[in-house]
Amino acid sequence: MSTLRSFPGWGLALAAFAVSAVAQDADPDLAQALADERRQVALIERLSKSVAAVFPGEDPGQGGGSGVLIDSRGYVLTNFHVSGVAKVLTVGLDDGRTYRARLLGIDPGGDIALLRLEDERAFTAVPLGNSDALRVGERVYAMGNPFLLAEDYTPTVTQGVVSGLHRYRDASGSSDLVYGDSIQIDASINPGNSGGPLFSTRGTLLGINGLGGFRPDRGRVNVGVGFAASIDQIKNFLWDLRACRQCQHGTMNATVRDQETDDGRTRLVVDAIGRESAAYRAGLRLGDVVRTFNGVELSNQNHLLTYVSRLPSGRRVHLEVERAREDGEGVYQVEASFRLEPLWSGPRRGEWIPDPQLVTAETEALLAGYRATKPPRAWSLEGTLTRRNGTSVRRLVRVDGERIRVETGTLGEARIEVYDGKDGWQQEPGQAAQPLSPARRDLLAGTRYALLGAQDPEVQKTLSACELSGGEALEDRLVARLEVRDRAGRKRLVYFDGESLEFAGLAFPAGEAWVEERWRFAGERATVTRVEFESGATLETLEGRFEAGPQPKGCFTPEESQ
Amino acid sequence: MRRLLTLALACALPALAQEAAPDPLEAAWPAVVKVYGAGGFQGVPAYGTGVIVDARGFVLTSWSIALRTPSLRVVDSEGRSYPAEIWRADPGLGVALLKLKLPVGGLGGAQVQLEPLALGRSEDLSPGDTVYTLGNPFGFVYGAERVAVQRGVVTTVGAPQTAARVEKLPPRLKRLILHDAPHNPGTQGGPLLTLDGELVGICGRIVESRATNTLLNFAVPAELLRDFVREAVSWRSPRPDPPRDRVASPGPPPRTGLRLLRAHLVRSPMAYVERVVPESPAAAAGIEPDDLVFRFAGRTVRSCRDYDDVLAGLEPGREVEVVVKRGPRVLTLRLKLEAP
Amino acid sequence: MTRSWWVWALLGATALCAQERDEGALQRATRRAVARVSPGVVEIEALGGLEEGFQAPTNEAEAQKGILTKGGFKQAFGPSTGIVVRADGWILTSTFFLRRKPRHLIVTTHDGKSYVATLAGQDRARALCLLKIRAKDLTPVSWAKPDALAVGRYAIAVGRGLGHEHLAVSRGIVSGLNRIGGRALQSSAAISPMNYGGPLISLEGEVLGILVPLSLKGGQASVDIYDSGIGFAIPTADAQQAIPRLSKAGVLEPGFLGVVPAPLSSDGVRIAGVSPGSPAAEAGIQPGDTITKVDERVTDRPWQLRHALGAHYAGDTVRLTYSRGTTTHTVEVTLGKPPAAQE
Repeated sequence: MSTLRSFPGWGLALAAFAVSAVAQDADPDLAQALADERRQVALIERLSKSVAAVFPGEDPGQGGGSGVLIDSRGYVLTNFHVSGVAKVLTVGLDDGRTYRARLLGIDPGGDIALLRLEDERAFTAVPLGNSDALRVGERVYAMGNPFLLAEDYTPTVTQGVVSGLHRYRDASGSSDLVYGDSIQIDASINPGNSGGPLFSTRGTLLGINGLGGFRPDRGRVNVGVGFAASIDQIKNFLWDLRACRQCQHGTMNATVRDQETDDGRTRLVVDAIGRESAAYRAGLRLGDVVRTFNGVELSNQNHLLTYVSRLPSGRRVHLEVERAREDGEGVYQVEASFRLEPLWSGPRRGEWIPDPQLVTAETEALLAGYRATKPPRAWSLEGTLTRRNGTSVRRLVRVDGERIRVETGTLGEARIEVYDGKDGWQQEPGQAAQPLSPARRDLLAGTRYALLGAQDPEVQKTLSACELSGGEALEDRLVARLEVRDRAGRKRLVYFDGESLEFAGLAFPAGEAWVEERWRFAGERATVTRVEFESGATLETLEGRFEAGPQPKGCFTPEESQ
Repeated sequence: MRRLLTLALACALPALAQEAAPDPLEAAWPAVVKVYGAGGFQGVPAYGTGVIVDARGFVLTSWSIALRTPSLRVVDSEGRSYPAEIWRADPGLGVALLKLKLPVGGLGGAQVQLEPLALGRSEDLSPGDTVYTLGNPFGFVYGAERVAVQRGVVTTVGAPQTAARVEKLPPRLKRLILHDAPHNPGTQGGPLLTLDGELVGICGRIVESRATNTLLNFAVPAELLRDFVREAVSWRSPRPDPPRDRVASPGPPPRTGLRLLRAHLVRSPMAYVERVVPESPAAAAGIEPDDLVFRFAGRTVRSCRDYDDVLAGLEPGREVEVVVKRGPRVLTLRLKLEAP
Repeated sequence: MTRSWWVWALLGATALCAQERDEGALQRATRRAVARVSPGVVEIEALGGLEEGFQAPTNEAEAQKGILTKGGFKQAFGPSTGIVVRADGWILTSTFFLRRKPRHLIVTTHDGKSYVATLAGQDRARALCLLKIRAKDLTPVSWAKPDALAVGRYAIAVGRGLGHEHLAVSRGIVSGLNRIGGRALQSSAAISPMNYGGPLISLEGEVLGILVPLSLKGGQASVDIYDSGIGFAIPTADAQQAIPRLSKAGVLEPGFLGVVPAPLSSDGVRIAGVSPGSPAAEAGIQPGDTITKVDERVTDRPWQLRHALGAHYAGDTVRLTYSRGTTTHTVEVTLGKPPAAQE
């Protein structure tokens, strides 16, 4: 053995390479196919640890399906038609053991449910993939427990290809199930696979298998056509699921009809719209031709349905629309931005009540990470404010505990506004301080309080003061949303990026309307964008340098007028 | 860092030295169309798939009663819809050639550019070769949405025995490609493609073998359709009626001199020999009473009826192999069929 | 770091090309694997016979159609497949055709030669049977080693049920192990009854398992779940072990113990009930006992007990370790035959 060790490492490597090269030459196809197979076997072995057999109730074997671990703290995704509204479920993993699980939230319209295992140990979870980046023909794996064949809970694996993308499969018969944005696959899935994962060759989660085409004369067995709810749709609902909500998908309360043009193309024409709907209030009208939806160019009505139904109610959407001129001389472009309304499905209103204990636990879990990073109680942000009308001006914001000071304008000639939690004042350069106007007071209070509220241990102690209520989309980020109440009981919203645990923004009432502020940090740089809460239209953007630390004495006291 | 770069480059180079394999589906997408007929009654869906095989607007698809309608429509990969008519039909082969009624002035001012797919050959196919089908299972692909891709392997190529008792298999199809890619209502008429993207077959309808009571996923081999297409595209006008097969009224079967035990019991329908006519072809072949005939002219015979079926399809003068079981032995004998 | 972006782009592009190249190599390796096993794969024709309990056709039309129906499922008939396990004429296949009690069995080898086959033995636990033909110099199949089985390996089903001159091929992957009471491997290759008795082979052309009509409901399957992407095969080691026992003639039945386990046991299998007169009853097992081992296999949960027993035939003796109260006992039990013939 000692003589082997005396060989230089590269010599051995070279020898191994030579041997394998000779072996490859013998049958290079077989060698390559076996290498592909080895990768596949290793991938499946790794992924098996995250695949669950899911049984509603305390007793496994009374009918069930599959699920997948998406977080090492024991979060399991499955289908709503597997869990139903069972509060307690039994989950089997491939170590042959069963675990108790609680149902957190449900998405009946999208057929998704989120569970949490009650065990304290760290589980093996899989990363979420990117279903929008999939290509048709790509190899995929479906894992689960078809026909409940696995007595030892080891998952069954089938392999196939992506047959189609963005398939809209609507509610058939009695169920509410709408697979708005689903991936069609030819990997065999059968009853029992429902709720189980669809994996890419890179081991990321692409979707949850839940629907299959079944020929009536063959009984309920796979015929090579199956559908998985796409992960990019599910991501839109994850925070609401963690908040133990009964999610609702969004609707525009307006429908479109396909119309063929002279050159054989298809236009989408609004053929029905609710007078009370947010879409109507935002300016959409009968006869409008819808061109894009959230930036996606639409090819037909199914296409629009796919993109609408993959969003939850309350999500902001932006339509680009073409309208004919009244005088008949051509068309002009119109934009409409509004929040989707709920398309109710699942248990009737009032039947599903989020379990307060579970919500508290989920809120705690989210905030624990945030508190650990200890955001500063005192900080300043100095930079350029660009307003909606295009003008820009210097702005300096200082915060210290309860107090906030905003300075707008060049140094020495700036307007100052201060709010200390009870009172506020404003001062033009060279003039005496005046009481702060109510609108401005709301804005300052909102910015300061929501940020403070989420950090404040006193606030956090009371459930009604701080609660995870779901998720929101801030530009390209999907963030968690907490509801916070100030001392007067008024509601504020705080957003966190759940992955990086960074503070992402807040929303609060300012006068009659609500304002949303999006916060983005990059090292010392910070960007704050204020938008209209309902439509998402930008009001102003502040970009500047962020610095933590105590603020100069006296900066919160008005200057003596000259 | 530089070492990492050179290492990475070293790993990449051998891969670059080989050619990148072509995407087998790339050329096929623009050629695959959705076909909408009318009717749609039990077992016959009104929707299907087709392949553009000629840029003048000719589409090959699977023959179906649902095509016979004035409202026949084809939707291409861009979502454009065209009325269509049957140009040539051959239910015996299980295919039809449609012609799209392209607008004379083009669409929106521009001539329509169709991208056909050429018919390939299936002779080099082996069982186990990867194949892809493109089609519209259950008919839910809509407009410009892409048809579904499904993958499998070739199961076998040729004229399998079980094909002899398959109902609704195109009768003149002597050679088929069987494969295990999923087949559902709506995929019929779509292309069968190899890894190289070659069009080796047109998917057929769903048929069931009565011998095994299982469904057969079959495709019509492309080389059988070359002449069918080539002739038809040169016609000035359509001939949508299926050809009248020159069906000679079935005359009496050739003479063998074999008398089988025709039990009226349906319990054990095997082809036992009851007696052999002296100086008949069977006698000359050496067949004896109590022999069990189980293969005749290459076809398995499980019952007297199977024997009758096989015999009806043979001509006098032909010499055929007869395999019989005699006690513990199996004998292969040669029999020369005589005129009835 | 920015200058190396093109290296990463290069690696990304080669990864994409790598997947497309894999398909070509896979296809060529499949062809060769099929060619390697082909001489050992035979066609089996079962002629005549009709088992009692089968519903005979009630009229000429049904008889002509050849459909035998039982319990609402269409039974299939037609040729199935078998494999040569010894050059002097030993063929292993499934019991698929035996239910009809055929009068004659004809085996046709890859070169078109036909032989009369006699039934040597059958294994009702694994749905296997062994046939003997008078031949020599046949080419037996190569068996894969037991550790060659892994979930995710390609599994190619090779059959001759479409006629002896045709090799019928379909491909999937090994989907699961230890299914159906721990007896079978599960694969996703599309199979139909003509594949029963035939091999599932690896890319190297070795037999991973032999496809059998084991059903989800226990007992034997008909055509209910074919083409569902679920098929069962007896793994290589178990199939090989069965051969010497089958060649000694007779019928092997699954071993029956006669206990009803408490479903939620997790620390040893608590026994909820014991069938009167069963081998367990005669060995003195009582309700309330907790079985912790079968021979050397630990049995914490009911499925582990089922799998441990599932490996045995009637007549096998196993040693049970169980606890009663605070004391541990061991007892040797000879497994019996299952009480009623299951469908």
